[in-house]
Amino acid sequence: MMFAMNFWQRMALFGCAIFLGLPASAQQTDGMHWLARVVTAAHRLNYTGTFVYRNAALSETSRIAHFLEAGRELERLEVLNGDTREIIRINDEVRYYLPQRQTLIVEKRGLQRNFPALLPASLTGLTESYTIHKGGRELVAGRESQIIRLEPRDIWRYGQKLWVDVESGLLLRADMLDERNESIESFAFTQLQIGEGIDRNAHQSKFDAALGSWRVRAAPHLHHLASARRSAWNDGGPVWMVREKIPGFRIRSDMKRVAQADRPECVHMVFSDGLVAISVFIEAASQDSQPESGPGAEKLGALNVYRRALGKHLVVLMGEVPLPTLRKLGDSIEAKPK
Amino acid sequence: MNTQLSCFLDNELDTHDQQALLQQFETASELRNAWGRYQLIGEVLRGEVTHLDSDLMGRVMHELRDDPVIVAPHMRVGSRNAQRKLPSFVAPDFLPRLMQHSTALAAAVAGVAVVSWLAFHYEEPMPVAQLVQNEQPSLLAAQRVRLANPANEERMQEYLVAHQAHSPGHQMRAGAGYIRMVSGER
Repeated sequence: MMFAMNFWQRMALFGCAIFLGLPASAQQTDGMHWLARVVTAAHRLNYTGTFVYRNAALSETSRIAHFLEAGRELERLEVLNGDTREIIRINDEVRYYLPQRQTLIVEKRGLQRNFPALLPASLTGLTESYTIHKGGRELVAGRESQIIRLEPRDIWRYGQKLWVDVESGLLLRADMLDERNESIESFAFTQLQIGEGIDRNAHQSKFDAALGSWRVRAAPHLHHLASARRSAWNDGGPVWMVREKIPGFRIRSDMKRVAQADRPECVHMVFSDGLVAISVFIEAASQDSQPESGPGAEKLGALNVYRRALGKHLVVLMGEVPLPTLRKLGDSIEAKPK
Repeated sequence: MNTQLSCFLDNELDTHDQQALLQQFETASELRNAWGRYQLIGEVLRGEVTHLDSDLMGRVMHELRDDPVIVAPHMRVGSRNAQRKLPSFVAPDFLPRLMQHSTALAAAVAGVAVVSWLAFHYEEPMPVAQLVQNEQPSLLAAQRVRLANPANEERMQEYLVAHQAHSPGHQMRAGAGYIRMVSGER
């Protein structure tokens, strides 16, 4: 008797698990499969196209070309309306050409792991922070796309809606959604060509010839991870502590950006939930950078910025997350007493 | 002991067990502490405590996690059959008992929902939209001052470049993700 009861109890529980759990699990797995395709396609395909970026304040059209050559990943992005700007990326080095200011900014990711080694770490923790749903299919830029929705499990992050090219896996459109499920930022291809007609000179900027008169903000030398903390102790600088944790966000990078001629040393911490990042910058406050009064906030599309003074230092946080998320993290930062 | 205490609070112990528990109450400090914790948790769940400091609330949430049974109704237990076995599948009163278990299960699920709700509000008591609306006016004023400061704007552009270079979003968007920074530079 008892055996029968336990058996049926287990069967009932198993049935409930199938009814309640498996469809959601299958949705998650299928959604993850599509996301993995997106990551792979974004880096391994040769493509050129035109896309529109929109947020509440502006709409811009840009041209992008991406290709692989001699083991290198090359990319060029040019803004077609408004001020001409270019972004050239060669593997992990990014070069920003800002002709209006005659300034070139160079940034390197340095010791971070490269794709595809980055892939599992980026996607594995996603289901902790988002529920992934597979939606219907729509045409984007004349191509059939599969809709994937990432709904946040809490208030600390935005939702995302992705349109994935069924044939290639390339991301055709991406919307970031606020808590009312309204789009606050959107990238969408209006024209896309995959595999053919790639301009192999696309990684060269038309502004290269004029660079002699430009200001070049070279990528600072970075001390990563453990060495950053050790260095902070050795040179007498403070060690920074973040007291509050944002659910799902883990520290992915902890580095010190070495001081340059006109820039002070800066600590840069990166927290991520696998999909979006929060950067924390801490530097000695100068007359220019010191907040005038109290904390300040700015918004650039889905990207929020939060600043506060901390003793003689300036703390700047930015990320594609709601402002309260940045405030919670930023207000908990303090210097560890020695 | 905690199970008996919980039943006592719900008036589900018979007279004999009540007296035994009260006798233990005089000597067992652990039991008295548990009594105090259960009373507090009950007040929180009934909404009778309108303000808790974060430390106290944290302790309450800790107790709720450790003692989830407190938020679910108990089957009536007597002194002799408190540990009775589950009903047989083929017993004549199977269906009524199944209903009883189902009710308990549903209540337990509801209890979990209550705990989750409390945990959620322990983290953040206000929805994001309301928090954003409640931003201090000085914060918005400071925003305009800073955007008008060319040095700050240039420094922020460098921060933006560094942020996006280290953001995992580029694993999906590739170069398109960089446009945000350039747009923000205006």
